[in-house]
Amino acid sequence: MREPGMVVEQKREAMKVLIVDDEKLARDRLRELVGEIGEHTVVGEAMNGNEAIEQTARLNPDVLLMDIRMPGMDGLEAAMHLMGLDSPPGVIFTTAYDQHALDAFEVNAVDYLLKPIRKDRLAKALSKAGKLTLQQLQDVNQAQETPIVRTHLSVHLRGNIRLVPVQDVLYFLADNKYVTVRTASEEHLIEDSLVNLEREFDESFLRIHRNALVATPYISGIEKDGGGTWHVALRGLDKRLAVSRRHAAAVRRWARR
Amino acid sequence: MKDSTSYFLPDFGSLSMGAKILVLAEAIAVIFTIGLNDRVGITAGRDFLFLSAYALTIALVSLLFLRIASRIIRKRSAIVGSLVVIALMLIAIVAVTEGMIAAFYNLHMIPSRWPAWQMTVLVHSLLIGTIVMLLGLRHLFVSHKAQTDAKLEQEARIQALQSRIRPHFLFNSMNSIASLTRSDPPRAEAALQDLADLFRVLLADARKLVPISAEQEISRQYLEIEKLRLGDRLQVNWIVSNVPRNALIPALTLQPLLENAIYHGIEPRFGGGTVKVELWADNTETLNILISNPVPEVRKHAHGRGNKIAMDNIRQRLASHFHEAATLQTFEEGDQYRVKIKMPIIKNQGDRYLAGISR
Repeated sequence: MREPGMVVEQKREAMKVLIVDDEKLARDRLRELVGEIGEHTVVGEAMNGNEAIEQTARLNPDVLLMDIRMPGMDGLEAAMHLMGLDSPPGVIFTTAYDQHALDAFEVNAVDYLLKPIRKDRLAKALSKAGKLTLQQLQDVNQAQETPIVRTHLSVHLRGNIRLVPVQDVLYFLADNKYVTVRTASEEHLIEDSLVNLEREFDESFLRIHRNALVATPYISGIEKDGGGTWHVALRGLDKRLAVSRRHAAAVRRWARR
Repeated sequence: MKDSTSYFLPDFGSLSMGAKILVLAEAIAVIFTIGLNDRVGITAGRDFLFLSAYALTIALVSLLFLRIASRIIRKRSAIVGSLVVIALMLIAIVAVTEGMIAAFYNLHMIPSRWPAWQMTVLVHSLLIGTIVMLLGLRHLFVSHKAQTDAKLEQEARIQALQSRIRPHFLFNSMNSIASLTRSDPPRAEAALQDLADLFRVLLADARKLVPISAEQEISRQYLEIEKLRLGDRLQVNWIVSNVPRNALIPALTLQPLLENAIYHGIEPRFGGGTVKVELWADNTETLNILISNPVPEVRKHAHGRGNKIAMDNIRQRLASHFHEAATLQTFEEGDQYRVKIKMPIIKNQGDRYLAGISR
């Protein structure tokens, strides 16, 4: 728990709380404790990060009580996606034990509660639940022993979040400020840099051009055209993507593997 | 900065280090006073004052040198650092000795600038200085080693304890039980009893051999607690055939492997999955344990350190009982992660000598 310091605690208005945990007993307990504290209302429950984002869009909670370790999308990633909303909810993480992670939470002033959760601590955390920023969460992630790699990308459309599974992405194409994300059926714009994406997803993506990263599981072939330029063919995509001269050697090295 | 466990040189700029060196210099002065004088008297007093002044001056000059060179010393390896320390000390001895003789001459206390005894004093001082310095460095080395050894041993113990149980499991279970005390007190009670039994075994000596039936029992209790948390997401399939109930295995062989299977294979999966535990005897001699779990759909992290520690720990304990006769292998087959253990069947502790396993 982050200590309240010298701040005078002020009475908050009743908040709408969303509970996110993959364990039923853990959710039951939080629901009961919030009920006993009395001021706030539990508006819903979710079992993983994906559900947490759906429920947030539907129920518009003020604060999420969210487990960090969950199957599929975990709590930290879900919180990062939520920060893209126009008015993101507060997030209080819950966790049983994870010493490395918790040091990072502490340093970046991100609230967390330790399981078994105590009523008084929960009440205090709810009464001062502050807003988080994406930067804080990214710093927490980078400080971990093994930072998480996002399972989804979030596309923000008029204040809504649309999640695109990273495993569906064929390629990323950068132009000035945005990056185009291309899946078999759709195209989206995200605000990110190719450098960051390359670093995060380096296990499954290959740089073929200054402005292009392609998903290696989708590569079906590389071929040379009449002019001597190499091109990459991707499953589920009619057009070919040009490989720049600078990246040709690396692409062919990858193909030989 | 060098590897801190093998680097024994302290910060020579520190106050406590300075105090130690001064005390050492004074001790040398006392020793020589006693050596030079048979009885307490004016001569002894004069020797004491002179030797103290000499030794303390050398100590102070050395300290000044060490303080100036302190940062350079700490950037080098322990051996180079030690040589620098000795060299500085010897330079200090030469400088102070020469300085003193020059001062005596200028004050007309001695007739010659280069007295006959000069070489003797210098050589003696240098020899004594070197011996004391080597002893001092040796002392620093030994006390540093004692300190790091104690630290390493403590870390090893904590690691051993953590490899027996994931704190993650402990605290999540307590959270589940806290929840059940309200909604289903009888189940909370049963879970607490299981947890107590599990901890009794965990805190016991993990080096001993136990009947496989006891290890199966503790594993079942462990799985009951996990089922509280994970509900239908955890399915366990036991396939046990022709294993003698009294076959002995190292305590806590099965349970940590199940814990790994759940932590890495079941918990990260949306729909959970099945952990398969197969126990069988090849003939009357070899016991096989095969544990399989599905690999997660999405791998967010590589198999963590916890996994490796638990495996290494089991391997070590198998080796300490059975040497090369026992093996532990891990491998992936399709979407299944498997751990396979083979070990000789023995039914009482003495058997391993008969089986020629122990040296």
